[in-house]
Amino acid sequence: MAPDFENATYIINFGTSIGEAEYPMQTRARYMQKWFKRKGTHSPDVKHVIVNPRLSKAAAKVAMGDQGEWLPLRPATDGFFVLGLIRWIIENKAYDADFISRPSREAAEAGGYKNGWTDMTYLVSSVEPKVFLTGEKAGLKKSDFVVSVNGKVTEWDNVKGRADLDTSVMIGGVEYKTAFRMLRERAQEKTLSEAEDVCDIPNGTIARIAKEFSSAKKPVAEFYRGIVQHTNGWGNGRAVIMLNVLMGNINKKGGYTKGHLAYKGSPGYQKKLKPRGVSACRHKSAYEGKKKVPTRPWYPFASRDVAPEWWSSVRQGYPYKIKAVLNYYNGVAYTLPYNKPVVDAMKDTKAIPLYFSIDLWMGESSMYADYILPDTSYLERFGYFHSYPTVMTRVGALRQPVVGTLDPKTHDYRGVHPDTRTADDILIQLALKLGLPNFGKDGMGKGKDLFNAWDLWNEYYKTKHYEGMSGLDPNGPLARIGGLFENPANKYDGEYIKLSGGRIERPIFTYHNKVAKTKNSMTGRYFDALPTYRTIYDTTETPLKVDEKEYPFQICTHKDAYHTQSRTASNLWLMSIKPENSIDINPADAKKLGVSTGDWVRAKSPTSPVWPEHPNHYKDGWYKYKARVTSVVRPGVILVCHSYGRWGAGARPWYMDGKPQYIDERIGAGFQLNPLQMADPVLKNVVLIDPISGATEQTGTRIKIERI
Amino acid sequence: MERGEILTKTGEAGLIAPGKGQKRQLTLWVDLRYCIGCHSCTMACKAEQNTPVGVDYNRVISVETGEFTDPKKAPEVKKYFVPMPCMHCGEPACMAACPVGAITKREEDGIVLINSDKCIGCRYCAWACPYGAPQFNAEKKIMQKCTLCVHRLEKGLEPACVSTCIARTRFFGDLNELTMVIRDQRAKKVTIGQTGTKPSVLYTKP
Repeated sequence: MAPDFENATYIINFGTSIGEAEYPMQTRARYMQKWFKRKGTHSPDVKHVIVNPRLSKAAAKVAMGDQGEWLPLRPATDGFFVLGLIRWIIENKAYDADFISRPSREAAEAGGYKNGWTDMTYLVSSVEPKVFLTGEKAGLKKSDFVVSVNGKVTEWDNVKGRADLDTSVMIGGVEYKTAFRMLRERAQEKTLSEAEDVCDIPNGTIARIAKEFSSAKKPVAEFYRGIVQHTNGWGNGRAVIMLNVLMGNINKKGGYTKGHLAYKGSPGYQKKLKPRGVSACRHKSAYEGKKKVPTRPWYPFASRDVAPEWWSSVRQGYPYKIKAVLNYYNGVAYTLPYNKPVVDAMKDTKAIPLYFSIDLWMGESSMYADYILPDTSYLERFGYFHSYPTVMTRVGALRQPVVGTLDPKTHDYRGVHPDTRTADDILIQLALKLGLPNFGKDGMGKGKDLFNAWDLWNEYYKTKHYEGMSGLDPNGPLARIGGLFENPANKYDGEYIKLSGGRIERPIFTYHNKVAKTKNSMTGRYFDALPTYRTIYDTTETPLKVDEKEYPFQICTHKDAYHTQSRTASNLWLMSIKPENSIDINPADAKKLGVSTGDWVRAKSPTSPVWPEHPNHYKDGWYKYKARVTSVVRPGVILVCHSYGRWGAGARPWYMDGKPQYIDERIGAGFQLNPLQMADPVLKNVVLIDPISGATEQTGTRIKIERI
Repeated sequence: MERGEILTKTGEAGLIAPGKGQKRQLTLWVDLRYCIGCHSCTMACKAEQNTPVGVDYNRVISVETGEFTDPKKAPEVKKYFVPMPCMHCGEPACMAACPVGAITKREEDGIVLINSDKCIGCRYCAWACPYGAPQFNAEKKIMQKCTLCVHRLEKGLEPACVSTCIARTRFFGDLNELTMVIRDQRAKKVTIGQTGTKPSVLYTKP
């Protein structure tokens, strides 16, 4: 979700980097700057608060003018800050009580709201599993949720006005509290000054920001990776959403919005197939085994692969042994935090007997493959691009090759190098060889063959939302304009965001019922469905214990605006902007360490592995870096920019048929932080992972530094 | 660049008369208030001019001032970004330093250009220029610098850096017209250091 930059008056950004990262970077950067251009950089009407341990580009902008402020929290303490804000807002009744007291569509509409309703008044059991009270349990009609109106319980959809917000009822000897009361009690577990001490920010900050935020005309809080890439990241993200719900700004003009529904195509098929079984990393799967505690954790709420867990599981042969791997668009050996076990798994021919890779170059992950199928670059392929919530009207973009040749008859596309095929074509060719259904003659339905990527994308751009359109026809409007775009003027519907593509008729949930009734597979205890006052913990949700005296620094990472993760390291133009990265150290810390800019330092985390093959391994698990002393990072935190320090993709010498291939040492310049990311103390061979969302812990690991 | 203010306030923007015998001055205005230091201008310039690695007509420097060493106090560190193209000066130091007369300032629009046929690659202009604009092209053994994209201007297009600017904070036009816009916006004009070469590129306070 994203804020409506055009009309918001107060935006808090948690762990986002507008102007450097974010989707789409250019659009978001432009929207942010447009916001200030409209209002003026010194206008009292708008304020932008950037919560980040690092002075990001956006933080630099707000620190320069009077348009906002930079709040450098200690990494991994975001939960304390957001819950602190919620505590102040609830205790000072600064929330939109009318909006959040309405339990159904009818009730919301009776109050004049067109942006839905919330679950804040729904009753939740106070004993585990802490799930919503249902109609049957309350002795009422069949109903998913039950609310209390003036002390009397009733079905949620039976209410035409407001329900009791902060209340509890006793049914069958069990206390049921409203979701709002659950949140209030959670937020009141710590005082504001306790939270500020954990966040290590000046006293009074939380109350001041909460007051400014809740009294602003159009307040919005948004978050991204910085606060969700933690073991408690799921809760942190939920907390920020709740902050918005309390303000009643969901899908409102100047509020927090889901944005548009993308235009999509939907090619047909001969025979409908469904994916089955459990993935090797057990995402989307709940543990149903016989053992009390499984060997490795299961991730029922991870919507995508838990990549580091995948490789470590495969190495261990849990939950099953695999026979072959096909890796595509996944530079895991370089990219994943605590990446050594990934490389170990790739090297282990017993765990992975056969390893294929589709790659554009001899990447860190492909160098261990048995077979490499050369991919084409982004300028040599067909594809689909949707946009992100920042854009509020509908978009569906079409990617077409810029170079290469297309056979006019068969529509077989070839990139610049004759030996390469697009990844789509490689997969389609494999499927054809294997004789899989839905490929080849009439693969996508009668008269709709599927022999290559062009066939697939041409059909994609003629179906579902693209019904009756021109497909990949080079003279058709789709290919010429580059996609399908809704008129961006149709963003609003009165005081609300139009949500092009349709509204979803369901409550705005702040309490996650499914999480509440699911157990952490490693402990057998129920998950906490509310945000928590916690920092980093391991897979059994035991708080991480690292000696702060021995390991006084916490790590933080970021990316530069001009790099796309590590994929652009081979672009020497881009590498020439900043030929090498550094370990950034605050002047206060540098003084204690006796380090100045340009000095070599070595760093070690409690679990950093001995890895002599790694380009910046020093010895015995220490890694070396070149220091830069700068106040852009808060004291006690060090910063290393991602994208640098590659050892594949032509950064180090490699040979094909005994012949040396093209390399350039500038590709591999700089340093990598990943080996320092801390391993889970229980599982040992994988990075710390959020047991609910499957997100990896990326900022907050404790390390020690010494001058070499 | 690290630490230390490099901008000098010049207060209210005043109209600058074009140089001697000059009809007008075409130039750039970079509104530093909105520059996010993304280096898109650097790369657009590189792609447009096809310069080798290490030769950049437009560089972006970030300047950091102040310190932040006590988390219990509000941070006082500031950071801003300054794109540095050729300043197309009123009295170009490069032109004065060139021993072969390869550098000229065009009468019709004040653009300073290096004639690559005359240039002998002695690099005197690089030493003379206080902004580091002239760049040595080791492949061609000549000096090169920002041309304000004259080849694009002839086609009625803006310089590549201007049309690519993500924050839309870079403007191209006549010096006096741009100055009027700055005045209208009540933005504060600043210059980079004080060099005496009468740089034409306009900056407004970040």
